[in-house]
This record gives sequence, C-alpha cells and structure tokens, in this order.
Amino acid sequence: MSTETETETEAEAVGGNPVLEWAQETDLRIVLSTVAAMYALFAVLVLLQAGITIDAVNQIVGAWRSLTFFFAAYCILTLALNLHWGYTGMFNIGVAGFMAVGVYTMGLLSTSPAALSGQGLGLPLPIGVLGGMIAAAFVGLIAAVPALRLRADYLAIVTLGLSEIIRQLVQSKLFSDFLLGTFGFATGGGSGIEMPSRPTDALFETGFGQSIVELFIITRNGEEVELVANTILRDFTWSLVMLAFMFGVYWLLRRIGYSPFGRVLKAIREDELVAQSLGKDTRLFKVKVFMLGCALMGLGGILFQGSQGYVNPNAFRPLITFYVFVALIIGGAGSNTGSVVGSALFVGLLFLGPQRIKPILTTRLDLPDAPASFQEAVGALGSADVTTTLSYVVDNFAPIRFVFVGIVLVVIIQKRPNGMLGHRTETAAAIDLGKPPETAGGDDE
Amino acid sequence: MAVTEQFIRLAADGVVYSSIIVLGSIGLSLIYSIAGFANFAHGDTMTVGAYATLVIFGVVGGTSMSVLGLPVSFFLALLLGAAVTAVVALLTERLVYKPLDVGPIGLLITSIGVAFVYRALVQIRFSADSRRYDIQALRPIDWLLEYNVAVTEHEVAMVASAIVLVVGLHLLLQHTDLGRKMRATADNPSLARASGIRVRRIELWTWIIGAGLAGAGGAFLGLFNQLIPRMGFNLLLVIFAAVILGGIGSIYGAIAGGLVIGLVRELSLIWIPSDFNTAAAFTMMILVLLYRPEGIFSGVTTA
Repeated sequence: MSTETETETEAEAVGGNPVLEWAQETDLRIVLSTVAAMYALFAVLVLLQAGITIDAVNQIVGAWRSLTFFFAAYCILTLALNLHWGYTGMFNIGVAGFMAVGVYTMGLLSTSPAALSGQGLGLPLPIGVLGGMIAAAFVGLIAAVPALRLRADYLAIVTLGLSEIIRQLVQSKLFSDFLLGTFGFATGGGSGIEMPSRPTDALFETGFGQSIVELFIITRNGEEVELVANTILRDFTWSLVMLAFMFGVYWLLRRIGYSPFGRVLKAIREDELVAQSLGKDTRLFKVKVFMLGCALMGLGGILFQGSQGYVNPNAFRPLITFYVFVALIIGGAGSNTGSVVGSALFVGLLFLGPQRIKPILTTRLDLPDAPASFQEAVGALGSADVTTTLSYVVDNFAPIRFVFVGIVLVVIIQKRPNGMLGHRTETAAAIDLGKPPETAGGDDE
Repeated sequence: MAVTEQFIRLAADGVVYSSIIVLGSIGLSLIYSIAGFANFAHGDTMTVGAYATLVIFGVVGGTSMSVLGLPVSFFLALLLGAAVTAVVALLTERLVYKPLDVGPIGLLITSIGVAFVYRALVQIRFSADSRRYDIQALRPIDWLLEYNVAVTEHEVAMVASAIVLVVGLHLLLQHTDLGRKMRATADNPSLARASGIRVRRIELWTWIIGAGLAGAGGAFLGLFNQLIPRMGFNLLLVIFAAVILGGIGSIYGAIAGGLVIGLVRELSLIWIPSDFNTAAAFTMMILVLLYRPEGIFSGVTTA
C-alpha cells in the first residue's frame, strides 16, 4: 500500500519512475491519478469477484457510485477540517457534532410535516440546506467565542464534549416531544428523522431522466437488459452533484488560502503572537474561520448523511470524526490538495476497499461456514485448517478494518507525520507534527 | 418520594458510580501530567481490564468462599486483570508512543487510533454482544433499604476496593521513594531530571499504575453494568470531566473530581430527566475548562 511503502523521501520513492514523476508534476495530475487509480482498483476488485460477465458492468458502476459518494463526502469534511486544523491550527474533534447540527436543522426545516419519525416544517430544500449551514456556523460561534483561547488539547476535549452533548440531545425522546409541542417540528429521538428526498431523484421522473435510464438499456439476444440498474443511476447522479459541491468547496478554500485573509490564518498557526503584534485581531479571524469551517461541516453532513432519506443519532458518533482525521492525516494537514488525495486514499483503500475483499474471498475460495467463536477459529488453525480461520476473519471484517485503520494511522504518524503532501510549502504548510513545540516540556527521553 | 429520601438514594448511587470514575481518572491524570498528553485510549484501557478479568475469572472459576457476595477468586482475577492491563499499556507505550517524535497533539491523535485498535481487538475476540461475569446478581441489602439506600453487597465491595486502592496510592505517593519521584516529575520534568531522577523509569511506573487502576476500574464497571466493547469509551468523557474538574495533573484533584462528577451525574436526576444527566456532566466539564481551566480545587496541586 502506497501510504506504507512510500515512507522514504519523495525523491527516493519516485526513484526514476517516469509515470510517477509525470503524475506528481501538478496538483491536478496528483489528484486525477490518485482518483483514477482508485476507480481502476475497484473495477479490478469487482471483476475478480464477479468474473467478466454482462452483470459486472452493473456491479462496477455500483462500486464506482459508492466510491464517488464517500470520496466526495469525506473530501468536503476533510477540507473543512483542514481549514480549522491545517490552516489555522484549531484542533477541532467535534466534526460529527457540527455535521449533526447541519443535518438535523435541514431536516427540521425541510422534512415533510407528515413524516413518520421526526417532523419538519416542509420548507423548500435550499432554505433547509442554507439553514443547516447557518445553524452549524452559529453553534460554531457559540463554541468558538469562549473556547478558542484554550490550549489545543483543551479545545479538543471541549469540541468532543460538545459533539456528544449534541448527539445525546437529538437522541432524547423528551427533547423531540418538547420541540414538537413548542415549535411543531421534532428530531424523532432515537428512532431518527426522515430526510427530504434528493432533488436529483425528481429528475428521473421527467422525460429527460427517463431518456438517461434508457441510454443504459441494451438489447441482448432479443431481450431488453438494464445494463446499469435504475437505483444505481439515481445514486450516481446524486454523487455527481456532491462532486460539484466538492469542487466548489475546494475552489473556495483555495481562494481563501491565497487571499490576505488566508495569510493571516497561516500566520496565526505559525505564531499567534506575531500576528497580533502586526495589528491583526487574531481572535476575530479565528472565530470567523471556525464558523466557516463549521458551516462547511454542516454542508458536508447534509450532502452525506442528509441524502439517505433517513438519519438517526448513531450516524454522528465520534467515529466519523476520527475517519475524517485519518483522511486528513493521510493527505497531510495544511494542504488542500492533500485533503483531496487523502480522502481518495482513505475511502478507496481503508474505508471501502476491505469490504470488497470479503466477497472475493467467499466466492473464489469456497470457504466453509464461519466458526461461531474466536476459540474455534484459532483451534482450526492448530489443525492446519486455514480456511476455517480465514472465514472467521472474513466474517469479522468490520472490526478488523478498525484495527487496520488504527495501525495505518500510527504508522503514518511514526514514519511520515506530514502525510502524503503536507511537507510541501504550498498555500499552507502543515503544522509540523514532526517537531514538538517548545511548550511540550522537552522531557521525551 | 420526599426530596431528602431521593437525595440519599441518588447520593448512594453517585458514590458507587464515582468509585469507578475515580479509578479511571487517577490514571488519566497521571499520564496527562507525566507522559504529557491527553490519552484518549484510557477508556478503552478500562475495557481491556474488564475483559482480561473476564478471561482470568473464567479460568480460575468461582470459589465457595466469598466476601461481600463476590468469590475470593474474583478479587484475584481482578488483580491479575489489572496486571494484564498494565502490561498491555506498557507494550503500547513501547511500540507506539515511544518511537513517536511528535508533540502532544500528535500523541493525542495516535491515542485515538490506539483506542480503536483496542476496542476492535476486544470485539474480534469476544464479539460485540454483551457479557457478564459468572457471578450471581444480588438484591440490594435489606437493612439499608429502610434508609432508602438501594445498594448491593457487590457495590459495597466496589466502593471498599476503590478506597483501598486510592489509600494505597496515597501511601505510595507520600511515603515511598517512587512516590516522591513521581510527584517531582509530574511537577517539573526538567528539574526532576536535573536532580538525578530517572524520568524514563518514572514514566514507565506511571503507565503501570495508571493502567492498572484503569483495569481494576474497568472490571468494576463490568460488574456494575455488563461488558461490551464500547463500555470504556462511553465512560471516557466522564473521566475527562473528572480530571478537568480536579485540575489536570493533580492526582488528588482527580479523586475529588471523580467524586464530584459521579455525584453530580446522579443527583442532577432530582431536577433534570435522565436523558440529559450525562450531557449535564459534560456541560459542567466544558464550563470548568472555559472559566477555570486549572480546576475547581486549584492551588492544591499535590502531585
């Protein structure tokens, strides 16, 4: 895996490979080649599982759909976190909480009042999305005004605490009933809240949408066959909308990075005191940027969790914040391009990739039924029955993925603390994970 | 029910809950001050202790002789479980944290990764289903019920054990050479090293003591509720709240903070519904961090 093997300096890693050299010449090429590599990887994985059949086309497009969806979702979140942490050095680990505020506000404004769980006001979707972003920014403001003067690790605990408070609030049935009684909308408590349908779905009800669907229907042996299933096409269309938003966010952050405003942010990250002595009101800058980042996290949440028709508080556990951090660290904090590349690598290799291995192993190896317990699995290993153990491993892929993500994170921080691209001094250099700041006490023997 | 009766009942619950929090918060505070970072894997270290005790207790089995409704072998399993936890923490320190050349924030992020690895490994080994120790659950003690206090003998055992461990730690800190060195190192690592204290060795002892107490706390948590892989992580923020309340780095502050948080969490039920009592504890933590980041008992930094 590239993140683990390319631990040497870049020059060595590239080492005379003309393809890699070409790919690393510009940011656009880096991003495009990474993303293309992920798409190719997934096509290969699907072919390994399904073999070369007509149905494989449908499956490949299906795999690409998930890849695009999660890539765009994590990319927006990672870019927003990069604005906080990479640009300004604000250590926010409450991403999930700000996503929840965005998604739930959008739901409360735009979900139909007749919804089964979690009733909204039924306002038009753009109002809901905008309202969600504003609400996330506003919660960010409440958190930022007192909290931004804290040390980085205290800010981390405050933001994590805030995100858990938000989650427990929307989890509460009592709170939901209170909202319903007072304002006429409800969060639905633990049973979750219905979300408005995606605007792209309406497209498929029109003649234009039908003509798209028909594009993918071919005639084979005199029968009409759906080359790509209707649902996949709908999801894919939505993923493309998310990609468009992702470009928008990237463009916005790039503009900010090059602007005088962005230079102040970088100055704050490097040395807040210097920025202050140059007459910059650093507190105001930090509050503004915190709010902007939170609004983008709300937007990311809306496009991601808010587009699934339904969401419940479990979608906003701290785990998702951790995933965003992993994506950011893979790419290298401080680099927008790095955030994009990191998200692609995280989603492709760590988040979705491992799931693809399981069906390949089960179809190709004809595994026996998984043993019920760890003891049996290990016992089977003793009697040289590798397949039984393997099928246990395959059955427990979800927790094994955690171990894998955790190990990758530790290895990156150990071997390449600046991530893939964080070492470059582009729009903003990474806050240096490689050197402990003076305040660390210097007692690491 | 009269308010005073409710108060007494909830206060008793709070003390029981606090005894678990205190065992976790001491270790977190020790590691914060001596290893120098907020260890987000501390909650999952407690999970490790709970499951290690489960395995060892399963091997040792119950004995007929019992103290406060708990087989004597459970206490043995608990101690061994705490020892296993300490070994796991030491190995983690050796393999993960030690080779890192990063600041406290890098260590913090790494510890989040470590937390997920611990939890996932526990889940792979024991599945995500809840487990219980093979110990008969008890009814609350009858004569205490007359005073509206509903605690079981097990809970009395938990509180008593926690008191024994905390007093033991106090004696260690105040009256042994190691304790003095630990306090010195926590106070000022550079000065401690200049005075000839082997800081590295103190660091290792910090991990052993902190993780050992967390392991014991985890085992009690398993006895109090049940064992699930997420049990420790769910408690992590409450423990952070206790540490922050007491002032980060202060061991006695962590003990007091643990008591306060446990009591606040239960007693707040008098006024607010149970949906919000954990959120109330977190809110209190955030307010303390914002307005009294040195803790509510500031000025009495003993260690």
